[in-house]
Amino acid sequence: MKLRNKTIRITTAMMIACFLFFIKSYAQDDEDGCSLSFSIPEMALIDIEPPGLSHLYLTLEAGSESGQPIKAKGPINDNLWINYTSCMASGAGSRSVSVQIASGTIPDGVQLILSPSGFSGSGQGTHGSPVGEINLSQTPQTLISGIGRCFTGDGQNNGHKLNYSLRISDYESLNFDGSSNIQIAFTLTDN
Amino acid sequence: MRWTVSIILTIMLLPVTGLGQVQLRVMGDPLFPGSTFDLTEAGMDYTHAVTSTSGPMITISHKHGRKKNFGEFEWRLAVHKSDVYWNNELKVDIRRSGDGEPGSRFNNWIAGGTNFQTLTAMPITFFEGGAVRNNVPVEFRINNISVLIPADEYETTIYFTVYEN
Repeated sequence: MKLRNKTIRITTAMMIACFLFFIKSYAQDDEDGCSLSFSIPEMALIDIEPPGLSHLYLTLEAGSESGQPIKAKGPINDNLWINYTSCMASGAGSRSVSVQIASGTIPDGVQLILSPSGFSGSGQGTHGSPVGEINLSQTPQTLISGIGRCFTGDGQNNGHKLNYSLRISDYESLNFDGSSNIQIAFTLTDN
Repeated sequence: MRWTVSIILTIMLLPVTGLGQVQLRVMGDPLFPGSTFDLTEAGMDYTHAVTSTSGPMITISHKHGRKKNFGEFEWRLAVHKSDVYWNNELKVDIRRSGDGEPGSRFNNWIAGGTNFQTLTAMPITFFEGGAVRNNVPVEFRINNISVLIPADEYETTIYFTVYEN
């Protein structure tokens, strides 16, 4: 009788073990996979909007009353905007926009001043800050600094508005008939 | 005693004869259009979502000949991702873009998985079916691509797991 009970217990235990093995096997699975990869490249794009019309006219106008200073008139087409897109690697620092006169000469006695506005528009990210008023020359000068990963939005009213003005620096050097075409270059550079 | 041994042996051999031997094979990696990152206009961002132009093909089969030939098994496919190098702003969606081809004579069915689901590290049910199913095409979509995400190479591994129901 004792031996029979022991046999039953062993048999039961083995059956339970087999049942568990059966359940485990029933749920057995197989696994496989694939790799998904892609690269986001570095990007630095800049342009002036509106395209093809990014020129403006500045003139000096004599006062109507003797003794009054000559006044700068214009600019005409005073709605130029600088757009940019910037994408950099992590820890890559920042970028800046520099500006310089690429061709042409400013008439004697006059300064061409550029003062960009702060960012506005539909873009996102870390936009740059204007450094303030710049007296344009052939030497590159930083116009906007601290640009991170960002985009300004495309077209007018996105980015930084470019405010140009003429300033008389030396009346004695002014030439009544003096005029000049000046080409201005903007460059987005890594710092 | 002999009966007991016979029953035990039967139960032990049962799994070996066919249950739990569903097989999974994933062929190929997803490819994305190179034009995704061809940005030409200053001020713009990347197109935020890109869908794979070609993707892996999934085949589900069975080691056991009778089950394989007569489709005497049903299965469920789960999927999850494991990031190798990733940015949490980037979301990956998955769906099957076709039914593939039935590979058994009977019990051929496939259901679910035709709408995009977002992948995480936690497995989710992708789709399920019955019998052998060959070359189910899979499509991936990456969301939130932007210049605001650091320029780099990103990689994640997609794991598929098949369970026999």
